Amino acid sequence: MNETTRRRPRPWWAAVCLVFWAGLAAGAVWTDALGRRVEVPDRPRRIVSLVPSVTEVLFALGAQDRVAGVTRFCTYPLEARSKPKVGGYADPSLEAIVALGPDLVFASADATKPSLIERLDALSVPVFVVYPRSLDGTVEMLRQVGRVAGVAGAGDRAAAALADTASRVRARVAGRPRPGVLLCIMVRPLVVAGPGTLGDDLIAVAGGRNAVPEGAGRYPTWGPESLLGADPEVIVVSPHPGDPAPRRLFFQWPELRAVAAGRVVEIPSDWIHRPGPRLARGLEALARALHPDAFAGRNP
Amino acid sequence: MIRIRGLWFGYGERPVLQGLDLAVAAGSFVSVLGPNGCGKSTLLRLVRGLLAPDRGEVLLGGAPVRSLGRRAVARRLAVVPQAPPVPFPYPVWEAVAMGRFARSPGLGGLSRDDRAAVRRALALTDTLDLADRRVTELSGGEYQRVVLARALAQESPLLLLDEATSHLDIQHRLEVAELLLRLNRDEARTIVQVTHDLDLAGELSDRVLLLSGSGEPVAEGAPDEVLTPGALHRAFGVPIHVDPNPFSGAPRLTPVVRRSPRQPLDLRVHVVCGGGSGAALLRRLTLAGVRVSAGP
Amino acid sequence: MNTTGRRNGGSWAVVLPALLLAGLAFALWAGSLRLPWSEILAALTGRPVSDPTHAAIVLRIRLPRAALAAVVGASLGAAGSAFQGLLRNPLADPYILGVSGGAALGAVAALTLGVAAPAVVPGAAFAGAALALGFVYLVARAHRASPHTLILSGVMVGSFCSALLLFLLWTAPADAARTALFWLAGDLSGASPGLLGPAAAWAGIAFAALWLQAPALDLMTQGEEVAADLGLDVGRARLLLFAAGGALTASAVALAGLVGFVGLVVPHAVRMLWGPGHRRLLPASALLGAAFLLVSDGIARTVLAPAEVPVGVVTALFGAPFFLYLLRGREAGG
Repeated sequence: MNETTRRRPRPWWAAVCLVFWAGLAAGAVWTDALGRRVEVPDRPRRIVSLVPSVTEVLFALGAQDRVAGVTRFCTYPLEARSKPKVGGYADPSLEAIVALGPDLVFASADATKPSLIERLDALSVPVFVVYPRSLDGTVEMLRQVGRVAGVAGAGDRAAAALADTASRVRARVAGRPRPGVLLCIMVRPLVVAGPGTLGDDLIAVAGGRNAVPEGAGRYPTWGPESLLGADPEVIVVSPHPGDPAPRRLFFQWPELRAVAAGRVVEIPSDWIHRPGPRLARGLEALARALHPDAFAGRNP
Repeated sequence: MIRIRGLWFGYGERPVLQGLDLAVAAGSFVSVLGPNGCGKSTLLRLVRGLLAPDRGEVLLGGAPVRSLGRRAVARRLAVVPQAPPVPFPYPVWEAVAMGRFARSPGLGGLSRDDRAAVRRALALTDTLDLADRRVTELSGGEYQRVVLARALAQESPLLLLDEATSHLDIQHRLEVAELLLRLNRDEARTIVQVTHDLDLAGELSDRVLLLSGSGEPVAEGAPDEVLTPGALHRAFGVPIHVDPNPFSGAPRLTPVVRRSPRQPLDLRVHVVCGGGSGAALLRRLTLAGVRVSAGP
Repeated sequence: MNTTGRRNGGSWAVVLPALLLAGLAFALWAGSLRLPWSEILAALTGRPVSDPTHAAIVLRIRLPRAALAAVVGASLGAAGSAFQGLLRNPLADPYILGVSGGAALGAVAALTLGVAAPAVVPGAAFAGAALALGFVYLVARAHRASPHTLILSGVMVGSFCSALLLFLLWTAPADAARTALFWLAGDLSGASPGLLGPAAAWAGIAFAALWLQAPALDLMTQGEEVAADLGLDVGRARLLLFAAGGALTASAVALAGLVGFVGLVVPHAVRMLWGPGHRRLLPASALLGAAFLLVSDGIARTVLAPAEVPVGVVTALFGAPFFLYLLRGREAGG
């Protein structure tokens, strides 16, 4: 009995060794979105991402070979699905993370529990927290993730590309009337993006006005009456596997200006809600939906 | 009224009633006596068809009781149980009116007859002044009288009482006893009661059924024939002195309490027994001051 | 002497319908848009309104939703009364017999399997509730279905369903899980108006079946043996009460998810004010339940307008203090 126990591999012990080794390696100190100082080796070799958007960024910046673990929800790009899983993004397994022996963990101020970050800190695992809530914040995040992950050049290029798209869109919609826009996170029940969200910032940059007023929560739930009361000129929905045709909900209200004018548009959820390089596509799609004439003749 | 023939009943392996025969004539007043666990309450459950006998039969007015519907049974007999407390604050009036269910089961409310029966039951049990109180606010004795009133409101010819007066003070116990006698004499109601009040049973009853601790009938007959020291000793296992009550002539029972200081016995007894067979003997030996051991 | 509560007479038959009407008026008035009464009345009576949107809001949003709240509130109030009496337990609520777990499991299974048709989720919730109830009844009947075994097996079946539910939610895609969580908190916005008619008819039939058993329910509260001695066929009555109460609960859950507190607090309030007799208690609890949920939903739609709060939050937030107030008043009144 004792014999077999002793011969079994010990992932915990191995992980702790790795952590010490990582601590000894040369590195730089970064300040993350929560103002924490995080010491990370110059070129981290085992990165665990607890944030689907960061996973996407790491793949986009060419750091995919050094990604050691992701969450169940890291579904883009397809190759990310074959990485080892450490759980969901809200409730990853501490043990699974540590067992991967990471020298860098990306977490999100939105989703990751503070208690998990504390426990990783206590184990001397460097945790870098991101918190992008705007287009500029996403540009900054691309740059930061690139630097921290040791792919500064690729990060800077991706950030510049997104910033460039943003300024092109800004220039093109400048001076045009700003239509009221409702950005729907889901439709059953109707949950919408309010002020202070990434979606809200996208609307502003794309030359629209968020139909959701300042109020309760960043992502409030609305009844149909609020919808009719706000009567936005454009409604943006995102199909997902659970509801492949979310536009249907609005067609029962022909009174809505957006329905009458045929301006209920579908944009993939990842393009507008995931702070990453694909945000450029989302921004362009949104701007095109808000100001079709400004983009006339330009195909995507 | 009630006819019981060759009644056997047990809960699982444990026999409770073993070969009971009993006939209760219309208009009689029968008391069932016996120690705890002798099956008195079980007998009442069998009589009203809540339990099915293992063997034998129970006839109610000539019909097997289990073949009658609950409503038909309720019109023939009313039960005064040791009622569990009710968690809902029904007014006394409404609680007593529930006794009319078997006669006016609809939603329409109470008829003139129903109201009269309820009022009469309240008056008979001295609960008229409680009519508007909630049952949850009553004392145990008050509530027991309300339960009696509910049974009387059924206006059934047969009344079964299961330890119905044990919670009452002496005044109300006597009042209930007088009420039962009156119902029996003036209205020809048949009464079967299970009780621990041996004296009152001897005083009130026409007939007495004495059961032993193992559920076997010890004696059945008129009180002065049944309530003898010998039969009582066989039923209860303790000496009871019996003499005629100077006021009524009914048997008066006095448990004999041994007051003489007991000499410690220098005796050691090993009882060869098992499976509970020696329990009664072991208890008596221990009480007698003997050092006891037991085993197979 | 009469039998319909000598203390307060028939006052409930006046007070509660008035309360229901007031609740309905409040539900038609409350919303993120402030509509003047003239507009609301004009929309209701078909006279011209200043803005066609206002007519749509009153007739196609507020009115169906108010009707839904009334049906669900009445069902929960009546079912709560019935289960409290049947189980002889004033702390029972309509969900105690595994209904909530079964319904939630059915609904969430449908949601996470990604079935989008509007009637599927209520249908699945109803099926789950009915299955759980039937299972609880069969298990308990093996032990003579006493209130004790009913509650125990209900709690067990409920816990088992909850465990399965948590597992489903954990493995579900994020969007489906979110929809499911809203549903679990009680959601009057979900049901499609087409379901309202059949659901109201169903609830009406179930309520009538329940009300016909009101005298039986009174007897059941006295204990099963006493009920049998008073002339009640206890097994049959229990099955009927269970089926009717279960039918009301299952349809309420199917329409609106798990709206808590109505089925617990409303029968209590009625009992304190008008006594426990079920001829009164059942209709009075239905009326008060409807009024209570109408008002609660009105508040849920206005307090953070244009955002909506789950109605279950409001029922608990206003129901609990009100209940404590009633309790205190009764203690003081002796």
